[in-house]
Amino acid sequence: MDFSLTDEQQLLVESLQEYAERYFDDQSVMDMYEAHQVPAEAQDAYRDAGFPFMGLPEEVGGIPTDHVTLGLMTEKLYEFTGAMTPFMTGMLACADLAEFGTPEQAAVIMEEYEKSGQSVAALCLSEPAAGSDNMGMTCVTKKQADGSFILSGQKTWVTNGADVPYLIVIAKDEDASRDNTKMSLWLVKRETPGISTAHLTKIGQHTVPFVEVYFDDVVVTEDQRIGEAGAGWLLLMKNFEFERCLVVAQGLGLAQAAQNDAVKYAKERIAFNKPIITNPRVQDLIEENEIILQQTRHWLYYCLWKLDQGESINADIAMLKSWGTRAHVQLADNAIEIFGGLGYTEEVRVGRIWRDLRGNMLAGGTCEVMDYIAGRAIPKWYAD
Amino acid sequence: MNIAVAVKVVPDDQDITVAPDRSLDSSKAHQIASEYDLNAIEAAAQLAEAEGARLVAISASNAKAGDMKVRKSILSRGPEELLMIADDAYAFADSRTTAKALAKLVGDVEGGVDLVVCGDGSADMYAGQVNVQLASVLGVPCINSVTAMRMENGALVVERTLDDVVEEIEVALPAVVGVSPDIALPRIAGMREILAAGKKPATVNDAAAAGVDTNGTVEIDSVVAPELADRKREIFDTKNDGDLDAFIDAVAGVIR
Amino acid sequence: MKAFVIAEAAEAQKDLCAGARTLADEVVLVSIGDAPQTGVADKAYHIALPEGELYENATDTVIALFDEVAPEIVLVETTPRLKIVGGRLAAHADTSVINDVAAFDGDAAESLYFGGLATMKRRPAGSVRIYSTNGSMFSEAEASGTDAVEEREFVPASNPLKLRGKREVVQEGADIGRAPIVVGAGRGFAKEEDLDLARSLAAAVRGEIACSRPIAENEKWLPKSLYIGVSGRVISPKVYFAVGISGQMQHMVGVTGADTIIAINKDANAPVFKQADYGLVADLQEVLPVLTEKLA
Repeated sequence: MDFSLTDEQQLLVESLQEYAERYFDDQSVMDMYEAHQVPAEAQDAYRDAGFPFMGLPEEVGGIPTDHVTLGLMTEKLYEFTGAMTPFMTGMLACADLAEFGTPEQAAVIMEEYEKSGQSVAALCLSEPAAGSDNMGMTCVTKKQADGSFILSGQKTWVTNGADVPYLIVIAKDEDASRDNTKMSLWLVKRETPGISTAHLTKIGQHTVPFVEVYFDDVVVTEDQRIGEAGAGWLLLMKNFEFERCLVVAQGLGLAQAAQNDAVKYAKERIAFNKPIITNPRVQDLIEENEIILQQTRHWLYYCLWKLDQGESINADIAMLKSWGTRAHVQLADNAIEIFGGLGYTEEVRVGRIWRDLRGNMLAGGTCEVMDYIAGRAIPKWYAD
Repeated sequence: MNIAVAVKVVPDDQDITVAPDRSLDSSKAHQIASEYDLNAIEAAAQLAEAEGARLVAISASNAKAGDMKVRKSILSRGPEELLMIADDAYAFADSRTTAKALAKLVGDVEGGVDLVVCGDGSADMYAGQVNVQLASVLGVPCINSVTAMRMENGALVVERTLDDVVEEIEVALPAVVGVSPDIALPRIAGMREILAAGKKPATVNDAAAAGVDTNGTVEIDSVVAPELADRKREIFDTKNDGDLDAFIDAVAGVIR
Repeated sequence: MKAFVIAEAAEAQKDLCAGARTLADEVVLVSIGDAPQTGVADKAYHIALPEGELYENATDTVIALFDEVAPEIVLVETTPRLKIVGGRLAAHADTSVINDVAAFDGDAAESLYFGGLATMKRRPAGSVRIYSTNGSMFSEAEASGTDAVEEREFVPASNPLKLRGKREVVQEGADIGRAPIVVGAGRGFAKEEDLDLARSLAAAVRGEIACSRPIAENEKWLPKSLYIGVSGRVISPKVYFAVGISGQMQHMVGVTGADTIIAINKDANAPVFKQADYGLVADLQEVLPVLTEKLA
């Protein structure tokens, strides 16, 4: 067992730190949350350093790497910036496109990244009446006499949906009824006639806004279908486990940033003539936070390592995501407590991190759905 | 065309601790390329890319500078090869001694060197003297405080920025130039470059193996942390009644 | 013992000559380009530069003069031009310049290591000792000497640098190096227009405005000649106001020589308060206009 990082991983972490220091100082991050976006300059610099290509296959111009390194990259980016950024969601969409798409479809990744550092695609999955209950989705494509298809329906909570050139849409084939399990993935230009978006205001994570997307009789053609007809859901499911790892990695990085701030403050803040870090109750909070950090970190890298061994982590990551994202919110809550009244102001960032982390309990599946997945799987680990 | 860029590897000053006797302990410090030398590497890399030149990094630094991670870090920022003398004789070496070691490495570059680019000063000494000494050892021209450079008809043309004047100067090659941090913002090394760095050639020797003389021209008596000046530390807070007036009285007393 | 002084600025010529007087019996001043100061050295040499000639190309002429005079000590002003002249001279004498000397202790000279993390005490190993300094520690010393100036003809360099053109830069901001009162602005100023509050305070106390590195390098709100710290200016004013400055070592080493340091910051935990004589915890927007009015 080896917990050390390779030289290359350490240098990657250093590059992320340089990147974060250059584009994500406190004022810039506050401006990003106000503007509800990460500025083009910071996105282009992310692209220039080659970060979005990490984990993509060589054939599409990517830099193949293991899941552990991608998790590390995510954790550190979030720790160093202390902010939500659109990059990992963008990477996951590109990974789907590269893995399941035709060479022509995958070629749009590099075409778009040559234009700007903005994410290439956003995944349109959830619907107003079909979140965790995916089979309830009603977005549908119907084949026309001329061989083209008409896509209609509505998607919601589409992260970065307003800012990307492409949407990856999952829709039922021909029949919108619950019994129909045949779905396909489609690569659709966001500017296609019939597509419109409406902004939804989140209570946190303002830098990765999500939108509702409406498809009003949008014409799509067979060459836009990603993967085999009817296999869309199975394809998407393949990457759910890794997506959940990244949600935890994001939360871990933000949680570490909150703990960094809280410990620094506790060392400097004088009350009753001494730094508050000498107070046993404050030490308790800091220790609880450290337990959460170490626990989620070790568990996360174990999950990523298992993925790299080609093993399923369906229940492992479900448990970690359920417990870990909840624990990270508790950690940020403790950080606010350490800051006292100041922690409840916009003067410090622990409150913002707390709001951001609450969203990660929902992203990629709620805690309850995670518990359901794990709850069904665990009994099978034990002999009857 | 061959370009060499001189890089000093120094302990990260964030990791240097001060002992109670005010001596410094850098034994646990990570080794890093001196901050402003990163700008020199970037400027040299940009010129090399523009001219289709080969860029080689040269370094005479402390014994830990040969660390694999430091090598890869330097090579991930543009140079195609690294030639280094890593020996503790260079941790506190004077500029002449360091320059002689660098001159040896310049001589080792296959095909010779047309231009050596240095930072204007290292993070530890900030003398801005190694470039001048190196030029003297090599017997070539030298200019410093360079904020832009380009090739024109086989000669180097530099913009040199001083407090009160900006000069355009033509420098016949071979030459040594010292560049200001302003000349270029260092690139952020991406994973592609980091992975490629491990495959680039690097030659690291100690002073004896490199065949260089480490007898210095300057002796070091001591290196100790400064004693903090004793300040009054009378702190007022506008939250407290009367504090602002008391502060103003105190300040008025010292500025009159 | 003979000392050679090479300096650009008139003030530096005087200060370095006065300092050389404390280290040697005979002081010889060399001035390239402009005519040398008189009455500060036992003898002065003037190397007039031909039209369009670059200052650094006079190095060979200086080296010839050095061989002729054979001084044991050389004091060089710390400027980019003289780094080249002094460095070449040191190479010629097979030694190194001991740079940025802040104090002398016999032959040993004190300079900063890692921009102030430590102080190094160094001494030359050979018989010729070459130091560079801005001379501020000699500003109280009396310079004395004759009015004797000898012209030295510029000898063209063998492989000269060619000056193609130049443009003067209007020096923005005052010379903070000699101002008795300096108001330094730091990151506590959120917007460029807020700096006017610091400018007004500086005007009220008849001081000059300066800043920390981020204000000049990152924000570019003030010219670089005004930033104080490790890689910027090192000053010793009577009073230094650190306004909205957190107190990082890299900045504070630039003002350790100040007689009095006054800190104003909204963060009561800012390290600057540990290094100040008088500190005020306050919101800059609210308190600076009050101070400006009351201190005028």
